[in-house]
Amino acid sequence: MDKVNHSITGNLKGPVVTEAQRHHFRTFGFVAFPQLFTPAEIERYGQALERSLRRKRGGADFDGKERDVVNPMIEHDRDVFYPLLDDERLLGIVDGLLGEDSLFTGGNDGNMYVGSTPWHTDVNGVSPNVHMLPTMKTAFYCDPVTDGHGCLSVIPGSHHPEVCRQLYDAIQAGVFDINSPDVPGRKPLESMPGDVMAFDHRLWHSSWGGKIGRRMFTFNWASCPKQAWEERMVPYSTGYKSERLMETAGARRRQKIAGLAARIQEMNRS
Amino acid sequence: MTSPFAEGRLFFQTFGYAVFPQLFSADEVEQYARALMRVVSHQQSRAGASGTDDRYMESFIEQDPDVFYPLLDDDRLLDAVDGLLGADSLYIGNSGGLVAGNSGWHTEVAGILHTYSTMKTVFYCDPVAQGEGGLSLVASSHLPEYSRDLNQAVRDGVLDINSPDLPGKVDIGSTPGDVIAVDQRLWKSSWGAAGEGCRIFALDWAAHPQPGWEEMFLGGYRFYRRDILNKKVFSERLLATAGPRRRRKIAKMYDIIADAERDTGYRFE
Repeated sequence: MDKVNHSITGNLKGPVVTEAQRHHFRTFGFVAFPQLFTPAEIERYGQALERSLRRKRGGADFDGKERDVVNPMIEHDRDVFYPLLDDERLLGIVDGLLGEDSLFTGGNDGNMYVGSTPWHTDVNGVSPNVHMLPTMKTAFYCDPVTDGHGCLSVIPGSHHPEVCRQLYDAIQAGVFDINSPDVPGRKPLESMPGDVMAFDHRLWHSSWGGKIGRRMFTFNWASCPKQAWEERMVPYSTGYKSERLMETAGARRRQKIAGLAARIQEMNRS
Repeated sequence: MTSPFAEGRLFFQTFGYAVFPQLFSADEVEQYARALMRVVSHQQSRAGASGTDDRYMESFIEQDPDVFYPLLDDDRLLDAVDGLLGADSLYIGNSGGLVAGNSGWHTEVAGILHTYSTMKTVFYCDPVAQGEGGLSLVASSHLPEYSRDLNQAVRDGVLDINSPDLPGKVDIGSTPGDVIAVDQRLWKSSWGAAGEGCRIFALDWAAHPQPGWEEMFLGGYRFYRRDILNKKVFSERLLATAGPRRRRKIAKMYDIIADAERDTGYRFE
């Protein structure tokens, strides 16, 4: 593992997250990190994602009729994807935005997308239920995406619980349509392979248009819960059947998956 | 995106603004614009004597009540206000004049975070567009949690109030006859108004106040304008010329001002 760790830490010359980016994330609910990875690295992940999806389809070609997804993606090609959980660039984003004691929830997926995704949050989809514990998604787009062509759109500031709930009320009353990109303040986040997008799970987001089969994968994270109710808010994934994620972990990954590991061990015992 | 009357209130509560396209005719607005320029010219000739420049002023419509007071009885405007703040909402003040250059990002409540909605209805007498004097705003930033974080980002020097580039910015163009309603807590700005500036006036409104803090807030709102800016709005003439709808919009403010003057010993209006 040490060898792999050293090969993927990139050329970090300082903290991944600046003070301005930390403020930006807290205020607006998202931050973009341009070219944190190289396009070649991302293409390697993209090809691994395609192989995983093809295996899942039994070797068949992607028919492009609907979104294809593997979840958790990292279990489908452990050699390629596990080391990302030791990567200082990715962990630097997470630590910088959620704190050094933040945790990997286990939630991650790899996707080939079709068409548009309407407005939703990653807390409970389209729902008034919103929690106070900051949790976050890091998203990697393996293909170039632009406004109207598959890129992420966000409503800045909508992760604040009162804004989040107010938007839900507006949707319920028909003030705006979750199937339309036309929402005041919509911010398209265009992306090139190598960019990483980080956004609060409570943020309202969507994507519009785009080529069939565009590839994207994600990892999900949570602030370290300090109270019992916060512990219940961590959206741990239950899709892990082996303990290899823990066995191959370096020190940094081990800290990040501590909560998840306890949950998996508990599941395996029962 | 505009806000039809039926959905306007929830749109306003969610995003902090609403646009009423062509609520007035361009000819009507031109009549207000000519009156506005007379007021500004008069003010500038006085300013020349005193050495001050006061081209945008509080208590603006008091300078020409014959032209502007009837607006406070106008069903089109009052229907829009009632639709956003409720039929028991109040008129609380006004401002107007010429606005030039860049305003920077600001709110009308000076960083005070609260859940009480007060509102400006803004009349642009000249066509304005993005970067040419048009209003820019941060959608939903009137909600206190969001506003608090924007304040903090400004205080910590990571958000520049003198740059128009801000995530979530909505640019609102306007042609004469449009009325733009803006929650006074909303972060807003305007950029690039050229020359002498844009001719603008605004009438201010408040949701019906709950006894206690909200009434105190409105008392303080008037106190600031009377004692700090030396501007009076709630005059005998405003009341004497009022039709029934205007009277309902202003009666409560006379009570609030009288209570505040009695409680504090200061003269508010």
